[in-house]
Amino acid sequence: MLVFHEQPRDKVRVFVDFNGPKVTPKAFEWAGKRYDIHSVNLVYQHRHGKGYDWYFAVSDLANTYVLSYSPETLEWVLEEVQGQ
Amino acid sequence: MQRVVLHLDMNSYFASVEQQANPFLRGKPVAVLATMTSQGCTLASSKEAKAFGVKTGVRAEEARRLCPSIRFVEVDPPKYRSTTKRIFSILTQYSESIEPYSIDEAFLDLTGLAPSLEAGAQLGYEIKQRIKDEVGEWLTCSMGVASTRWLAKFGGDTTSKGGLVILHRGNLTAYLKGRDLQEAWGIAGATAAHLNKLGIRTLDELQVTSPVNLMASLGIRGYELWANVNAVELGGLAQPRQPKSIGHSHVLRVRNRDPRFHKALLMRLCERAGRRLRDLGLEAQGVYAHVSLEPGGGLGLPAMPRGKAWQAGGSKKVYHPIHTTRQLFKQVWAMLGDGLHRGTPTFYALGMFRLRPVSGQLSLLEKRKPAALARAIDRINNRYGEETIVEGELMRLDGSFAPDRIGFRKTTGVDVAPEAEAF
Repeated sequence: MLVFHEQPRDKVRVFVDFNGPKVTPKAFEWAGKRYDIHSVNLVYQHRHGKGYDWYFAVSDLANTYVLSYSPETLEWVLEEVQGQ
Repeated sequence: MQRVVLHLDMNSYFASVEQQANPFLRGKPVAVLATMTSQGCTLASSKEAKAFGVKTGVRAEEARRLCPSIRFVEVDPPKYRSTTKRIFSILTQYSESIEPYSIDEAFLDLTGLAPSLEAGAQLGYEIKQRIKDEVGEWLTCSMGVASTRWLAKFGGDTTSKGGLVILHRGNLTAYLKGRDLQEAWGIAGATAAHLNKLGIRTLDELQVTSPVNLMASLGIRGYELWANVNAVELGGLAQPRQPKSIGHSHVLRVRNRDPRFHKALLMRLCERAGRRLRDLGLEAQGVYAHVSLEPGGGLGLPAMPRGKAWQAGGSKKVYHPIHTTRQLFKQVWAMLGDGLHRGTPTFYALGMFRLRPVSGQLSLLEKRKPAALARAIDRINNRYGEETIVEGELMRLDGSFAPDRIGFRKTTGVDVAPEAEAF
């Protein structure tokens, strides 16, 4: 049963793995706490003006998160949190 | 040379993408809703939800009644478009001859690359695996491989979920045997009833019927039906072409009689249609607009006693071609304005037809400034995002009204991301 679904839209600090042309988020810090990413489930894009922001649907062992990355501003944002 | 056409159909697509994005939804009944309301329409359901009878089109409250444990997710068009693009980019690595048929279906002509249907099927299995490896392990697809476009789709539509079927002259009759006419792509109620009158009730019966008799009864359509089930190619893969019409529709989720709200909403729909028209370099010489009205008082008027719902609007040709959002809005408002005072709007549909490339013909009566202004606004919105600059009527209209929506057919080409494989 869905427990909660939030859209915090907070800027977060993300630790990423650069592997050739691929960038894989490994963990992020939100509200002073570190969240280790267990799996990157889906990568997709949202159009924003002329460019596209990258969205990463990720999960740890308890929750799912959506992180967005803007190639223009170089900012990571925590878009969604879903708790199960 | 053996002709090889592959048809790919993603299974329970929107729901599968949501299950891919959220692993906690996997293996559970999920419905993707157009709007998160009790009246929200199911756009796609997972295979687990389908087992409970939750099909496309079922409203949320009915879905909940059929399956109390169902999980609802609101539709997220950019997510599906982006995922489709990644899937189709895999397909383009096999053949340049590809026909995107809808957001979750495509045809691929493998002639030349695959020497036989079996070799085409091997490529099909490879594509299935690559979709799982490179896009998402929860995404499955059905495939049909045949010598014609129609048979490939028929195979893809009728094989098991996640399956692949090869149809050739050797197994075709056995595959068609006993299948209802309406299982075939392009045969619906009226055509099936017509064929029934001729004593044809199954696809294998259609296959052995004389095409001459079918043409005597159904004209050229009769030959097409016969050719389809006899592996005769009629047209091949369709080539991209200019749309015949461009439009938008919207079901209102709130009942509102404020004229400013409805002007703003219509302006947003006009802006969407106008943007697409200009992106394609087209202008229109026809416009249509419809509104469904609920009794209970028109815009700006007090509530009236309830009565029968009705519709207003129509279509017309215009002498001066429409190119800007303002030109479209002016026509739409003129067509709907009076009707809006006779009830509470619940549904809008508007659009343009008689499309043609922009002629550049100067008008003695119309000024050139609006077209230049529209182009300037488009450039700014392209650069900084939709509705960075809007027409005055649209100011302060919440973005949740008439949000981005997705259709099932021919939606490719909309919001297609540039080639970028960085992630």
